[in-house]
Amino acid sequence: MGNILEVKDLRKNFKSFALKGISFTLPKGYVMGFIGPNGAGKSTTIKLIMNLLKKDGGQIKVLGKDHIKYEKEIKNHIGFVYDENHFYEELTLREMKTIIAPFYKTWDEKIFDKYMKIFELPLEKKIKELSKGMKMKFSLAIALSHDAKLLIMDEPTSGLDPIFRSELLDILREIIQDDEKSVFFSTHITSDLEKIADYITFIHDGQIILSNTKDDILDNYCIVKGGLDLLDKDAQKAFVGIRKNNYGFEGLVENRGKVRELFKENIVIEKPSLEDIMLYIVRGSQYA
Amino acid sequence: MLNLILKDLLVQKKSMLFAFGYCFFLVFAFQGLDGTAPVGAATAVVYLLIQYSFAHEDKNKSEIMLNSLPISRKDIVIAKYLSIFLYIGLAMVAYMLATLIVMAIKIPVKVHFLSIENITTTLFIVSLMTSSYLPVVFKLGYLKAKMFNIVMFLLFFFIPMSLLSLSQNPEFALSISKTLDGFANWSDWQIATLIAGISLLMMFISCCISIRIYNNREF
Repeated sequence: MGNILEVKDLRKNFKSFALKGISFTLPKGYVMGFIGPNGAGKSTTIKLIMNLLKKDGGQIKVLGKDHIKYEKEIKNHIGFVYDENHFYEELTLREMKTIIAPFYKTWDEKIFDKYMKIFELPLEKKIKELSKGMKMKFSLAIALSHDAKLLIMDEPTSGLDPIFRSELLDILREIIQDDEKSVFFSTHITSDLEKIADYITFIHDGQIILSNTKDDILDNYCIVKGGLDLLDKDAQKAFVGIRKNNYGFEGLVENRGKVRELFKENIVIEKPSLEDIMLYIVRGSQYA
Repeated sequence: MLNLILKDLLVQKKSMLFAFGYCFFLVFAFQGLDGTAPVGAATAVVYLLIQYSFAHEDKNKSEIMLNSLPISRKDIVIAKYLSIFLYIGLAMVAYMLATLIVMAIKIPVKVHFLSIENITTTLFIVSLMTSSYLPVVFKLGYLKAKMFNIVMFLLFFFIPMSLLSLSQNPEFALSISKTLDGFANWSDWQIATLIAGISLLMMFISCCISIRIYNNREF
């Protein structure tokens, strides 16, 4: 089993922000959730993978091949869905499809028709007449109609209602039945990922904070709740982030095993959500 | 490549109709201009179509989508340059149609027909205009290039006018006529070929510069 996406020591400098040498890998056939707060570097990373931005250093490989040297070949195997859709608003869906389809070597008209039917998209309607959800569905139909091996999605669910988000997740579940297909999905709505992601990569302030399987992350971290009297200096150090009020504390600990050693009794241990982990890590310094 | 050109035509369906209507208007507006009327009309139409084509890319930020597809940036640039020749052809056809219709319905307007001289002059002016403008748009994008565009547009009006007033100066007129004497033995076709050659060379150099610029563009 090879990696479909390898990012190694990727660097990009802007005036007020920098991607500081990030690395992660996505094995073939899995879904990776790419999470982080707004401005953490998610879109920058995706733009660098797609060569929309020029990297200052590092290496990106898709299907084992350099993303610049084999750009055209690689892009034939990538389906992309961005937070906004950048189609020509004046065109009808049919016209837009007619323009895009010939660029892909493996375009499959039957699959496109199938998705147009499933999504109930009107081919003769102009793109500007579609709702945001419908535009997203059209992007997805295009991305799925050329047998893409890697689906790259940048905040595809932002601004969409829960019904459509759930529909999208169902479609992604169906896609990943095929072991050859992988999904790289950036979002700040982490609940979506809890349902489908196999791997989670968490970026914050241009750095990868963690990148591992979702199950390992959720098993390792835990939320600990207890009275303030239990918190001494040593205990506080064990927390990634902690919140205190008059009644007690609640915090995130990275090593579940360590918690029982530190606090013998009178604590409650809970399984965290991805959102808890993200919040405590991002705001850890403020809480600790 | 052809698909990219087709895309520019599809996106501009409405603009094309407008350009055709504009040609009609120019047949009337330029009736006092003698032989330069067809050149003025065709150049104006080509200018409009080039502007619209970049404005559409900008409006939808479509370059993000185009550059995510398996298309090389070189092809995107070359397609834009090739579509300029298509616009010139379309502008000529639109102008000819407009003059023919004006003639057919016998509107009392002095119409000027398209000649080889007109075609080569249009090609030269459009090449001069686009070979300086396109590298700037590929570098800055349509919106930021607008300022440059305005300056260039004004220059294209002022330079011919100041040349016209310079030609009143006997010394200047003499030096020009001496230069032109060198071409006295040339046939119209030879001169047209020379001008077309210079125009194509300008476009080719500009296209090479644009490819270099666009390869480094970030979105």
